[in-house]
Amino acid sequence: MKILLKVFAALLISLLLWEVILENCVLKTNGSAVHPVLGTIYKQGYHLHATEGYSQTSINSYGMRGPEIAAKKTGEFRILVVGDSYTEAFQVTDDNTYSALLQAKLKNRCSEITVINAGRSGASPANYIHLADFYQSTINPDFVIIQLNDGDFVQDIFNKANHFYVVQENGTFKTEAKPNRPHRIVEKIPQLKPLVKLSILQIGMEKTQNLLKDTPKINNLEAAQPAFRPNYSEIIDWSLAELKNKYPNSMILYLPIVSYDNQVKPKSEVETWVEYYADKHSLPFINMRAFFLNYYAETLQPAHGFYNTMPGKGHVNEAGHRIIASQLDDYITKEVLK
Amino acid sequence: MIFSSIAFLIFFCLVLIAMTCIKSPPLKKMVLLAASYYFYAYWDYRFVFLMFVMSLANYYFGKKIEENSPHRQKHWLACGIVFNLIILGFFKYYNFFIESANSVLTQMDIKLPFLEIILPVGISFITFEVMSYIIDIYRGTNKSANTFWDLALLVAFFPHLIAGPILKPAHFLPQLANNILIKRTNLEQGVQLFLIGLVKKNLIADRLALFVDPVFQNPHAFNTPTIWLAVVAYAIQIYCDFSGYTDMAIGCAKCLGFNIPQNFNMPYISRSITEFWRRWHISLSTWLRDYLYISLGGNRKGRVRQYCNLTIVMLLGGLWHGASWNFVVWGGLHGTALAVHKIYSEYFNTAQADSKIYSFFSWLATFVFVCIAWVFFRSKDFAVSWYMVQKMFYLAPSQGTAWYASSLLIVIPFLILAHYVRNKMDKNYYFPLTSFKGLVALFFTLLGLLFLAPLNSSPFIYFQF
Repeated sequence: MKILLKVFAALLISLLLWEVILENCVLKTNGSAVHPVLGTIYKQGYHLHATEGYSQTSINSYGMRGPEIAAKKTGEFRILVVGDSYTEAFQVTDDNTYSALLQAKLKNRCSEITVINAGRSGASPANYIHLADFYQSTINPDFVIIQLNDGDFVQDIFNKANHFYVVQENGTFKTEAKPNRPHRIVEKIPQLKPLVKLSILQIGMEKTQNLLKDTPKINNLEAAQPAFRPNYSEIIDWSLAELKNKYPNSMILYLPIVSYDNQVKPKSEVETWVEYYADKHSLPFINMRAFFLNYYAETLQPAHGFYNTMPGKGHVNEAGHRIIASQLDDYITKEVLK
Repeated sequence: MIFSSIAFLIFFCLVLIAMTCIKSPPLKKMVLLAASYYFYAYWDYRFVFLMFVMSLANYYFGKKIEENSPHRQKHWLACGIVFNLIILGFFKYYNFFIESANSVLTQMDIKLPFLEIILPVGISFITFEVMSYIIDIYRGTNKSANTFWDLALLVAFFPHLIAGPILKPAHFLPQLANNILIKRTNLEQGVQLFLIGLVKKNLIADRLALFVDPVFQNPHAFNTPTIWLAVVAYAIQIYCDFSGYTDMAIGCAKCLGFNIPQNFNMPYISRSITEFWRRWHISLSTWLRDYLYISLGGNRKGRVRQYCNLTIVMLLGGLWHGASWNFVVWGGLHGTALAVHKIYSEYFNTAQADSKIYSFFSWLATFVFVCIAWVFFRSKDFAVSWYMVQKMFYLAPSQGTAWYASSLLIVIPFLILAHYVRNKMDKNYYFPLTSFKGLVALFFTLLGLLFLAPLNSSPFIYFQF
């Protein structure tokens, strides 16, 4: 009995020590919350991310990065940015996301402009289409930037593990939302809920699963092609038509996968179709490919990747966010605020 | 089956349980041998037969050397060496020599055929081990094994089977004469040695591999400071990878009640290349000294011959690592450096050797040389190595992406801690694992491995040799 107690106490102390280390150096979230419309979102509070790039930030009650969204003031011009983890941008600090940089640039011209970063990891056009009315009623944007990339159509849009996804029925598409349910274990034992936000649990679970799976984690989209391969032309056509319909005053910001070491590599099929259908549906379109490659040609520094991962791979870095903000600033100043 | 896998953990626990439950000493040895063969067969069962045949043949050669007159002993020794070198040469060097020969013969329109040969894991280590067995018998420094099974276990003993250390028969065979006993003190020490090895491998070497691999794969894309950082990172990676494996091997053997000698002794603090080779891969450098350098005449045939011997030994030592001209260049660089250092220490006054400034610059020169030589060891071919060395010294365009990898910074505390703990272990300081302090250290390390190890573990570098 004595030895068991000793083992338990030693394990507990080790776990506590690691919790302190991990939540200060690797990852700290406040756990998750279930929102009646948005589904499972990050719980409001402090957030630290250091596995790719580094940021300490705060999450608001909508699970979005940044401060609480105040009621819209008279004369205020609101820009809503919807997108996935590239827009959420936990890899860079608060001041260095392209949304924050854009706001800073536009504020110089018009002090009543607010840019709201609604980026959410794993989001796809299914989210943006399904939540359009919610965004309209809560945020009431005057202009919407819709950030897209290959992953939206290759991985996320049909993925039923996501809260919002698209299904195809009788030749037509429609968005679906999963019913709101807390985590299976938490649902059965609600007392465990406070434990969910522990960093040791979040990181430990991920690592244990990986250890037991014994299969390498897929890090690139080419390797992550699903067994079910959608007709990209059809789904992109439908998505962009719906986005235009739901957000008449909007534009598409496309963040491509760039092979810095093989620049002659042709554009992906998704990129080609998005370009084509954005034009067809008269959606203003900015593809960052040429701007990223120009920057690389000038500085030899890629717009993706970090010192703690690998330059050229993964999410957009500080330089990438600066380039995006600059392009958006140009477009919005010339075409939206004219 | 690699040491850092769940499969090995289960396998090793089963072996320990079996060794605890079995009472008969000969049966224990047989079970350990069977477990070692299973360990090897887990990678490729076909080569267990090869290992068995090598053990059997060398046992026979050993017996013949022992039984015959000195004149005939020499013949049997030659037979044994030729037999072992043919096996090593066929599996490891056949295609390399064919490729090299073809590059000359193509001018005469002759092309020799390549064979699809799978390189048996650890063949270089196995060959050196059996060769030292017969040479020791010939020299009279060791007797032949009591039974064939003892030799088979020396060759196949799973903790050191794949990547050494190269065991000296005179060191290992006497341990087989004792009953294999699983003792608590051995287990405590073994587990701690194993964990320190795992930390070196998974937290340091694997983390650095994420930086080193892309830079060595495409050095054209990165700038000069990044290349330097990657080369230094590789020096740390290969050390932690190999010494981590060795610590795990020593730890496993310790759990089973066997003592395997140390293979590394902080090589990067060396102040000369001669000192480096006394601290790096000690079992290989000792083997090369005892069986090759001394056989070539060592320092007994004049200075010039000694310098040549050093260079030849290191060239062959390089080739032992792999069938590639890169390894030959690496060995040649070290051989030349050893000879140069020998000349330097013989002809120049080293009275200042104790001064701090002299020590610092000696250390720096040694470390930089070792790092540059690693470029040839790690790169995929000579052209890439040469390009990298040129870029390091601004002899090629130095532009490229800057990647000041934070992994290099992150591993430093782990490296210092691992060295500190390993040094304590060398001084026989271990935590009693049933004490509270010991349990906290154990759980803290295990959880650290779980939380901080990269998702995709790299294979051990020395497995390819």
